[in-house]
Amino acid sequence: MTPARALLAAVLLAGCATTNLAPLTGAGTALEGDEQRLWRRSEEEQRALDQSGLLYRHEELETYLNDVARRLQPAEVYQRIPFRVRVLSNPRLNAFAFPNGVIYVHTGLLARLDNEAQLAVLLGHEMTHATHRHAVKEFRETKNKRAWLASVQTTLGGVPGIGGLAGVLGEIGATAAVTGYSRDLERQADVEGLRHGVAAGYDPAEAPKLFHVLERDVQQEKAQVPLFYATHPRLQERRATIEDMLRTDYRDRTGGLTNAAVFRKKTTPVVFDNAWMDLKAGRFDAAQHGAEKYVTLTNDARGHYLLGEVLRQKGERAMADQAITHYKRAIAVDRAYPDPHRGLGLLHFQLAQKPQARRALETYLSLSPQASDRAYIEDYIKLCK
Amino acid sequence: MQVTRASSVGALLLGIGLLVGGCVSLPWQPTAGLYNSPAENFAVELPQGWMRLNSNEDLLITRDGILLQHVSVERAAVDRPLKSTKKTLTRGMQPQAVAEVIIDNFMSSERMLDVKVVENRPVQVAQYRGFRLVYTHRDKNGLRFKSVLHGFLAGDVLYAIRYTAAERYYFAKDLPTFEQVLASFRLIRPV
Repeated sequence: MTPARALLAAVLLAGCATTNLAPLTGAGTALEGDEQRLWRRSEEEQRALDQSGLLYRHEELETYLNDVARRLQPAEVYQRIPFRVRVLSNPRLNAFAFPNGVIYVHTGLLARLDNEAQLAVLLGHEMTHATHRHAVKEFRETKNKRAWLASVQTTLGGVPGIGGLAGVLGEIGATAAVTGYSRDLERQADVEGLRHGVAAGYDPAEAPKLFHVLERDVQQEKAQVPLFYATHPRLQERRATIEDMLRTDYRDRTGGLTNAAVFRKKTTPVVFDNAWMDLKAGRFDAAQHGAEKYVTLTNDARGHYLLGEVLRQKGERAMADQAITHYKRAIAVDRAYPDPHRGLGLLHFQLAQKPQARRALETYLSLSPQASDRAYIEDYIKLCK
Repeated sequence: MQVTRASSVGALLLGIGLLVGGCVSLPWQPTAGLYNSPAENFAVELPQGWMRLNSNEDLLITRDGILLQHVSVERAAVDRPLKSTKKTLTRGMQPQAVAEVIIDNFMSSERMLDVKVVENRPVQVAQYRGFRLVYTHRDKNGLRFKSVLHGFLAGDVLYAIRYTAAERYYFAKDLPTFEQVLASFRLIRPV
């Protein structure tokens, strides 16, 4: 039986089951039959995802994320749901949880967060999907299981720009990552996510900022992809719900942990790597935002080079001077670093400034005699003569 | 030359291609000698014993099935948006810059996983300044493919002659056949 047929059989068997399920946080709650099958199917999908080459492998970061997650749920809940946070190399702003508590956060979303409090709200949201059994509820509420499967697959097949995920996610992952959950379930996850964050001591005022980040991205990219956060037309509505909670439930609560410094330390490599991914995808504004953030955090040569590349590859004449400035700063920080010379040379070539182009490209080759693009660069140098 | 029609060439180049479109029910024909396409402005010698599929006048040939190996001649207008990157090609771009955009398109693709560029260097293709890319990728089932792509800009058109095969066994086996096809490629009307 194919996985899709097995899943279909599972959900058909659950046709008349209740959706009034107690959270798995309470004593005496147990996984039901169809839910157990969903968990097993989740494990299969995760294996495919983990072997896809899409994982962002950074042990220290993963340990940190899991440490933050652990503060959000009591140990007894972890015994019921062995939460695990993993990171996917994907510049899109997204995160999703499988019903068995395995949470995937995209580099794109991590790179945009400012502090641990925002991360805690995000993880709390995802954990709630698992503790409150949203996947099995959604299955059971779907009257026509065949149509549901078809719609998930159709949606997934038609979604552009979600990185390598489209080819790898199965039905369960697609539900979580691409189609999201119903309005009520997402609201419950928002509310519980904030509650867990606040209970762990985090500053609730950071929660709406998470939504601001997402709204900015939707506007910037004119996103039409129905990712979990990105294009739910309800984004503003969800932010309003959180802001309403701050005015009511948490009106007496001011301040709290943000742990911004440790968050920045742990996630700075993600900001850099994700900005490169954005650049490759031609998401120039997002790439520039990421590169500028990285430069602010580190002021290192690699950051200035990256920012120079973003500005050069934008191809706008008005950006050329800024690009040159950043290449030169990169060179000033690290004189032995070849790449900024290459960028500088290519930019001067684009600007038809051949003597400067030649000088920079020759310096590049002298600093990197074994450069993999040596033949191209030699061609450019010939064209400059 | 202005290309206004969207071509399946682009789709192949974008990493979607006929690999995932196995159900396309277009007629296959045995290959035999010279393939001449004035409409697409290229001619090429095809190997004996392979099967040819023309899709919107673009060319794809295989001997054992497209999942195992295929050679394609792909052609797309430079102003045609790429599938996986918002970067664009422009007339007169240097080969290195074109190759960089093509690589970034692959690396940002939804369907090409774990893309690794093995080789990227300038070459002459049909007397045009072009590039040669050798790269590997995996599909969602974990099958690893290896490709050689020779590309160049001729006016407003990007031409790409590509060989893709399962990395194990098939790639090495049919690489000499691809090299022969590549060597025979020419534009009918130089641009």
